[in-house]
Amino acid sequence: MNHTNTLTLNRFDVCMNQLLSALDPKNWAKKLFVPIIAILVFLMLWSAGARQVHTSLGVFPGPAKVWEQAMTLWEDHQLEQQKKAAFYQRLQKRIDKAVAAGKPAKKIARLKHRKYTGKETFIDQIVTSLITVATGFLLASLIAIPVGIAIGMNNMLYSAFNPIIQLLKPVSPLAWLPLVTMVVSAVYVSSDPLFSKSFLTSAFTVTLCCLWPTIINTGVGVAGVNKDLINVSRVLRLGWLTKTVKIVLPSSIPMMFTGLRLSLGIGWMVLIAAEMLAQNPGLGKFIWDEFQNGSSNSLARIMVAVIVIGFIGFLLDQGMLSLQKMASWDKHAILR
Amino acid sequence: MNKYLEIDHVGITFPTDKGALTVLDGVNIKVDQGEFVSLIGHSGCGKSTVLNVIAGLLQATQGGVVLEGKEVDEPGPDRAVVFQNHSLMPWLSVYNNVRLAVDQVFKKTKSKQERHEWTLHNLELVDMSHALDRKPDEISGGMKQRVGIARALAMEPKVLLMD
Repeated sequence: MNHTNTLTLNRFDVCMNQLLSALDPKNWAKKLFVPIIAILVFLMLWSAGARQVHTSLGVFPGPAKVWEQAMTLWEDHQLEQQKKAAFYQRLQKRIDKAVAAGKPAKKIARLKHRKYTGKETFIDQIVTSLITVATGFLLASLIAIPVGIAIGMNNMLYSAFNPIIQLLKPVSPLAWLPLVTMVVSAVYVSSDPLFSKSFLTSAFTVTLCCLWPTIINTGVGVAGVNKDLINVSRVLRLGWLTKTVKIVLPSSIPMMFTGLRLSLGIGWMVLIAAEMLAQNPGLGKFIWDEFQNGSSNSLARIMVAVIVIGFIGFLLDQGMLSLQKMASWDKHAILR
Repeated sequence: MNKYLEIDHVGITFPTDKGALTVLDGVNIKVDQGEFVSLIGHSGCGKSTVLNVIAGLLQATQGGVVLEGKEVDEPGPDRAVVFQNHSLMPWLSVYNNVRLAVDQVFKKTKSKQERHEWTLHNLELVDMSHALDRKPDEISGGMKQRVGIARALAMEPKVLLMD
């Protein structure tokens, strides 16, 4: 039967149409015109307003100054990368010389283990933040999805868990941080730690704060399976496991993804606060250090970080949205 | 003589906030094997309720349903239901919706290839062979209902209940 081939062609057609429509200059003008004008107006207001504000660290930075600092941070990163490459080149030359001169194996091994001890650049800090939030979010999802399914399927479990969830949900990450720090310090005692304590503290704080939307939304999705579909499973006499896997779970995936998307958004916000206080070498620490530094460029550099944080948060959200659109069978839901 | 399907003095009363609501009272229907029965009545008189009791989706508060001499109080594929709201799984294709029922009912008695062919056969009966890979939201209401009928027929039920 060729119905599969026909369907593939149709889907390809649809994708091509969407792509061509996106590239069509007429659509560009319509869709981008208003947002671009809005952004330009915003930049003008920012520039005008900033000039009026005089702080102890100088005039509040306008877009021009922020752009300048962004370029500086990028150049610093490039410079540091060059220094790092040069260092490793020199190191390799030393290793080769040592091997040629027949030095003992232990000395060569020690040379090979030498690490570059340069400063962490802005880009490195972005990467650290992303890794930390990914860890915290994945850990939260691993816990939240099964718990959500359990409370959705079982009323008794729901009554048991609900008060605790409602009580812990509104707690700010800044309140969790001291507790998490003390517990990690006490429990994570190792002479050769794989992860730094600040990384664990930040990741666990993110986990604690972004569990809740996923648990709640998964629970609602699972509990709200269409009664008609449940009746079908009763007529078919589906076993408990078959019913759960084949009917309940697929039916609740859209709500689950809504929860995951909310959780990721909250996780990213929490991360910055947690990093600031736990001193995890990410964007949070960057802002804190700049603030403590108090140079005339600090405010502009902090603004760069703010914009980068916002942009990354936007990208993370759009990523989750794409996943949600792929996983959602509910064509009538408007996903934005 | 015992009939094939007997609905014997069935009554059902729902507890509501405003007191007990009696929807069915003293319903008696005797059906022969191979007989085709139509329940006609004004909207809200309890036709779907009778159907749900026979299907076992609802428990009668009085009386009972007897099929081939045995009382039934649970749903099962021997009393297949074609639902008023078609109740197709939105994430499964037309083919897979019927295959789900076939796999469940015949997992021990038919081989994979036989189940595949049986699914195709039943969809052929309702003239849906051209739309096997479509999802429920891509077909019309009439087509959805046809898939529901194919699913019910595929279960080879003793009683076919069509709401």
